[in-house]
Amino acid sequence: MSAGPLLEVSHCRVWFELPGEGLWNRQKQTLKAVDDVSLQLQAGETLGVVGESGCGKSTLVRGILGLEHVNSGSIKLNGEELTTLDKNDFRSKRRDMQIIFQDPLASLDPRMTVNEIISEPLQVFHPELSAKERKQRVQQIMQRVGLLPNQINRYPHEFSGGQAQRIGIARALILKPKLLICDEPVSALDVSIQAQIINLLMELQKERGLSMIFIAHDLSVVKHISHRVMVMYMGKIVEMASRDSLYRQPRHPYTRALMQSIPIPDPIIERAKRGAPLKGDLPSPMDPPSGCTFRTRCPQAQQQCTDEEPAWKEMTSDHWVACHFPIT
Amino acid sequence: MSLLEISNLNTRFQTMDGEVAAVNDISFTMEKGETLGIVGESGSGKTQLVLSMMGLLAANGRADGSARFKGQELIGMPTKELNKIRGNHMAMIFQDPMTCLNGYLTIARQMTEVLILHKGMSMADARKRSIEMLDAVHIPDAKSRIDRYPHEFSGGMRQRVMIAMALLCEPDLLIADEPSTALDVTVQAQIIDVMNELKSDMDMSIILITHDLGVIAGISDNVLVMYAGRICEYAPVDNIFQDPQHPYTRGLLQSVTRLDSDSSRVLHAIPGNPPNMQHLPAGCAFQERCEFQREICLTKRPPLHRISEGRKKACHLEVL
Repeated sequence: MSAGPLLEVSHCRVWFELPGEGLWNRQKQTLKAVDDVSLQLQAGETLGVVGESGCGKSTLVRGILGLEHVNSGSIKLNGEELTTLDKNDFRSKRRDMQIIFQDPLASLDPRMTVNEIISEPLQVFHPELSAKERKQRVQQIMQRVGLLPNQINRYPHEFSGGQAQRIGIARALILKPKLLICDEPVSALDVSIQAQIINLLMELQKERGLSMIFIAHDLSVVKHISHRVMVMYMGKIVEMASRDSLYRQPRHPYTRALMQSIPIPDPIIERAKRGAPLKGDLPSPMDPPSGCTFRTRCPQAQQQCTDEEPAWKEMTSDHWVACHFPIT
Repeated sequence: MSLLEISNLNTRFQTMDGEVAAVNDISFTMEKGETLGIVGESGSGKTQLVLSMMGLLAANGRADGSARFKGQELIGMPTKELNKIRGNHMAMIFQDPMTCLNGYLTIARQMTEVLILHKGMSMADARKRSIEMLDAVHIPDAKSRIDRYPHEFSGGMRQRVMIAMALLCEPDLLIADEPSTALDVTVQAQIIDVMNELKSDMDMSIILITHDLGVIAGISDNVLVMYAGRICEYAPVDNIFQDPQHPYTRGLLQSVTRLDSDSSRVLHAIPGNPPNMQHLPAGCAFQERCEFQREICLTKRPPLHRISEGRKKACHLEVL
């Protein structure tokens, strides 16, 4: 095994070709969902990925999992290139990369029992196991994620949202993957349950040395679970840093605005806030602004931001930002 | 006379699996200009409570008790009468704007209809007023945007259009059911900002339903915490956040991920799952998840009682 990063994504692009608008104008348009994204993930590390809906965070992980065609760039898992693999070879790699989704009930087949759901990956990748051995493993993992092993023959609709998410986690972990991708795993859950799931994911990571990519639209959730955080805007990374560095001193005006937007459960702090930190909506991804894509909403945009795309630069040790006028 | 007086309100649903008591014995009052935040988990009855008031329950639901709005009894009021109040004096906005915007009609058509019906305005006046309202909620270029269809607006803008529509008749009471939950944080901040402006500019009373304690903190005067269809705590907003007196309220506050807190601590989680409304335990509904559970909690349901001026709770524990 190589000593390098577990996952290495370099200059990854996922572009979608869309038919042009209008009946006569059939010129194709390009939607740059993920544009020139590079990242590294070490074993046992959690990377938080944050951005508004439509920023490309889900498309990025779908690209990593081979669920979306990657137009260019390279994705390496344990040093092995994934983008050039054919479908069958990719399948065998997927056991090392698993995903849990936002809506736990929608991602479980309502006609399968918990046993069938969790053991399906075992049937595919470990056909040598007997039904009894499979059941044993399923019960072990159920216990670990906080489900009662005697619920093994129940159906998904008999569970609450938090429990259903535990089933999703059990299914993802039964093959002992190296990388777990969590796509907004708590945003559909009640507040009292969110903390349970976050704590469970953190325990499992420590126990198993998992690497995690944790997607959220909310910087406060990511803060608890991540070692490093990456902020995306319109398909590009605008800032990436260690958690402490990012939260202590956000460098990109977008990151700062995201932080200021989060309501804090304290009436005194909240009442003192005046006005929303960001005006307007995301520009159309079909027609992104020239130069820096954030300039149309940026409170400190200048002429240079319209003319030039900002370069990716290191502000302090391992704190990277793409902005002409980073916050100092 | 209070703006809204709810007393002993109950809502029951007849389902295939028997009767579900979604709302139980709710009483509270609201004054003019007040903003009340209602917090609770999904299934705690917070939405059914306001739907009961509005006469909007599903066909298998029935409400009894009393809900007086400016002295008028709403429960049992004929639909014809209710229609004069709904949309005119009392308006509601929902989590998903598309549930209340008609995708086939332009915004102009949908907004002017309200004014022509309730206020008897002419088309020209109604249009002018609608544009003013869209301006008030910061829809850029409202003059030309008003002739567009809902799908031409982004999620945040649709939510603002819905707020504008609800405010057309300058209602005394605006009920907002999770108005910012489906939105990005940046857009959520814009919506909260708009609601805060309306609150101070129009002296409107607002009932804000949400599960996000951060949203509640900035805008509410009083907070009602619901669990399993009942009120478990009611207090002024500062008290709720600084000195919660019900174990559930405190648990909720501790389980929130906060941007301004130490990130290395382990999050406090309330153990267990939200209760099954069809099989509630005897005694206190929160008993199984409560760290202060005692003998009495298993058998006797704690009554909602006054603990100090303007504060109530339903818990056997005297002081938390």
